[in-house]
Amino acid sequence: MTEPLLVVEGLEVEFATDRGWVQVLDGVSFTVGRGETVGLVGESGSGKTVTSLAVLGLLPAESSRITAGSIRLDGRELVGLPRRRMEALRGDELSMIFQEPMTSLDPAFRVGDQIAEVVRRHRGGSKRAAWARAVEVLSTVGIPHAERRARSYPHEFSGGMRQRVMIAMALSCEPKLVIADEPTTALDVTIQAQVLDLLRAMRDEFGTAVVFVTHDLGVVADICDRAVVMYAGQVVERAGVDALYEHPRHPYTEALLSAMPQLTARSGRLATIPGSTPPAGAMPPGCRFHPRCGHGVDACRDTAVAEHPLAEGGTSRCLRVSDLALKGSA
Amino acid sequence: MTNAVNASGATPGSLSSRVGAAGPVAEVEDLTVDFRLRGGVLGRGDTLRAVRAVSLEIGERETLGLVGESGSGKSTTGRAMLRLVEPTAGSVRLDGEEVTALGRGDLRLARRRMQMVFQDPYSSLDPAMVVGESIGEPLDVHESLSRAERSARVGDLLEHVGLSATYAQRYPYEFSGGQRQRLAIARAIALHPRLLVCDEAVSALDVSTQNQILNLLEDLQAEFGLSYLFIAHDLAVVRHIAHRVAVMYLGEIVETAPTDRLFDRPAHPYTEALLSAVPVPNPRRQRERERIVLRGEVPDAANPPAGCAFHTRCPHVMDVCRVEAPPVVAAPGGGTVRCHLHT
Repeated sequence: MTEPLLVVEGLEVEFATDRGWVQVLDGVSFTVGRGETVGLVGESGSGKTVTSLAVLGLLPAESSRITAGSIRLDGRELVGLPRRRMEALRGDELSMIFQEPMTSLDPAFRVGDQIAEVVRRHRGGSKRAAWARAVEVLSTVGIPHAERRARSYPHEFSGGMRQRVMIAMALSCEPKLVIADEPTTALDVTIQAQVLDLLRAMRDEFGTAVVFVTHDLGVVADICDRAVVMYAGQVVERAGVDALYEHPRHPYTEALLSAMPQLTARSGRLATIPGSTPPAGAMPPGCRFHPRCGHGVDACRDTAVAEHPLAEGGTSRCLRVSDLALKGSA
Repeated sequence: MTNAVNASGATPGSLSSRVGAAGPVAEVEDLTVDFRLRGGVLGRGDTLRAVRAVSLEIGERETLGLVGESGSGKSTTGRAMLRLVEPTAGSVRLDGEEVTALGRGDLRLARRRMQMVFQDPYSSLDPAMVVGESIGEPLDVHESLSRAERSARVGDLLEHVGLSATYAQRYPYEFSGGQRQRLAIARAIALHPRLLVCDEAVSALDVSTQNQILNLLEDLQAEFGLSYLFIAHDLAVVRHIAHRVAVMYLGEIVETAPTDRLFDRPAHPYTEALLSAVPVPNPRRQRERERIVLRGEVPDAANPPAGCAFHTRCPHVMDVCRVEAPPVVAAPGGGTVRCHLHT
């Protein structure tokens, strides 16, 4: 059996702080199949963005290090890959879309030139052919008058259109995997709907796999096939989205779902999760969620919890996984 | 509030459903705000009309949600009500007193009764001051208290927003985002205001922290009889906290309604599209939903379309919409709508 497109296994990452190296990811494992969209979900401090940067090989070299684990893209190990080889992969087999497109687009160059440059770097060919490809992808992502708009500078586009340009650049070399980190968070909701439709269409047309990093459980429900829920640097639950929302198997997932204000009916008092996410370097012993968990027992306080594989597929990092019946979102 | 007498004589459940006999806390009439754009010949810039003749009312203990996308003018409306930006035309009355005509000294007094809470709490907390100083600052300006009285008031305010009185001696950086928002709220309520304008006050927070702040706002409303103008782009949050909602598009209010009516039976095509664009956190329900994806983007506010401002994106556009601005009419089920489909 061939391996999934992306396999992340036992990933551990540390950051340099005043107090020395501090662990920020602990044993993160998940897979992404070809053409699959997987949500990486969690609140601030969960480690979802660190995970995505690790996959992209974009962790800051001086202040971070991968201390264990493996990241394989299409069978090739990315951990320890020399910088130049990683750069050759990025934009080609693997590309990214960030929340703020201006961080990835150079304000001084026309967008067509920037996309053409990516195409030429990875695919070679003539300048003319690369420009033609740039116009083609701009048109694919729904930029009207792509021929003319390719000559515009990034600031001449609206936020939504800039995000389309970013997606065009990410797709220009037909990558196998796109990492999208909060790509619609800064957009208005009607524009977000357009961009999510576009990402869906791209997946259907080119079979691109997507890791969708987000805090928004609505967006995950809309676009993802599976989800990986992270808390305090660990994966706490992995599941297909239908199962995750209807029958969550980890108390943190349940807490997140019950805290979502509903659009369809006014709830009574809003549910909260007591306390806050522990900072890196000060993780509680035992289950990291136990100080905030409504289902904790004594054993949760001192037993580090492993991920339990579930019969229906997926995993849960909860000691009580077999005896808890948790509430999903209606 | 259930027996509130309707001052304006409108049908119950309409615009002024929570306005009691004493009249609304805040009344805004035909509020217009123009911004000068730089550039143009001889530095004579074009004018951008950010807010176009907006009228609204907020009753006592009432939360009015103000929703819309970027460039809709919702934030400018809130700021103009407090005169943090100067209105170009129109009237803003706070407890019947005209705010737009006040001179500097009187405006300062009026500001005791209306305060703002921003998305970024750092905008009201000085990073170089212990938070007790920041929270007590409004007291120093408006009341002459002894050191002991002041410190007792600050401690009391901290406890009202769910923090320990001993935190007064700490600096803003020692707090989490949610705690900082609590501090900003403590400062805003220090002088017992009548109206709090919350501008995306919970937008930067994680969902569990966001809910703690929303619950706090509800508690403070019950305790102090506060009125809120709650400006937000997150519609699920607005459904939870608002009693009535006003929807803005390109500087205009296109629909107002009691919250349940707005969400269950939106009358304006823009409101309908806005609601359908929000993904619901349940994959099965999300797949089954009928979604309206609007074409295009919000037009340039400096050069708005003729007729109905929404006609360029409206799925129901008719010929009349391109030439004639629709009037505001009563909407079925309560509230108002600005749309030719209802005329």
